[in-house]
Amino acid sequence: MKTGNDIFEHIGKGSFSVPDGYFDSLKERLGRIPEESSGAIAPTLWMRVKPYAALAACFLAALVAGKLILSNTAGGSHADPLMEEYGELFYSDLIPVTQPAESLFYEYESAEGVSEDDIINYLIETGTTAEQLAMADLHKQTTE
Amino acid sequence: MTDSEIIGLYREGQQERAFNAIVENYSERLYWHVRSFVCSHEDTDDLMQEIFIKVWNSLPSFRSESRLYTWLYRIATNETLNHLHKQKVRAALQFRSLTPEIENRIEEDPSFNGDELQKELMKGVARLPEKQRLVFTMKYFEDLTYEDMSEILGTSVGALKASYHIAVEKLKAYLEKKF
Repeated sequence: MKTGNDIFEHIGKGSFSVPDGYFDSLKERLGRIPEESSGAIAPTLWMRVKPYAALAACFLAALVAGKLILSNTAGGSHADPLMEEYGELFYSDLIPVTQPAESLFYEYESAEGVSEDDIINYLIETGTTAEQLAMADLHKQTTE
Repeated sequence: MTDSEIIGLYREGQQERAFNAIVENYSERLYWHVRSFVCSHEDTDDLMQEIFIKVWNSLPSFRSESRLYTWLYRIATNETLNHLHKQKVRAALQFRSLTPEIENRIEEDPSFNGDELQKELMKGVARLPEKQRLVFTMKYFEDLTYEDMSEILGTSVGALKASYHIAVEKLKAYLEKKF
């Protein structure tokens, strides 16, 4: 009985070759890993999460401080509506969520320690997919 | 050395000997597993180093709930997928498509020994969505059983069979257009 895989059974699988002696040298290199790793501490989950937790804490502190300052300077029920609107604009400037796509494409200086690999690793760790980047680019093109 | 002997060695405190036994038994198999996804000897070679560093660092947390074989394959698969994700994100940031690059790499790979049809099959596989590509590669090129794949990927056998069937249909359509 013919199965759905017949087309592939006629094709076969093909194969790759490797340089002569490759697997012997690979085993030798891999065998050195314990020696090279001795003394190195594998990063714990907390060590990896710590920088992001610190960023989140700073952001939260800024939000709370902003809220306190604004609530202390606002006049309550006698507040000037124009000043209230201005306050909202000031607040919205702190949280630029109206153009989320821009957060992916803002100009950045290639500052010390911020490499393309750092950006890629950050995007992957925060779950940004290539499809979201493509959509963000499309959104940017249509709004420019 | 069998897997249970390797684990026994590790538990007796002979970590390096156990690790070397894993390298001896599995390095070549895992190389071909990675190579079938990455389509580049150089990238595969780099990944092998990362995979076995991960294995060495993760050995203390290995529990015998899964078999050593499927645990190793899971690490290799996850590291390979991370590598492919990074390539995809890097390509998206640079506004280029990966598909033509991968097809070019397959076309120009001097170490590929297959014929034209087999090369087109590889290109078709590279175009599949990630899950279908994984399942098809592991089933067709590596002859893994659905039960083993289920343990490695954490997906039910039924879902794997469905993925494989869809991948086969897509590849048939792709190859029929080409030839």
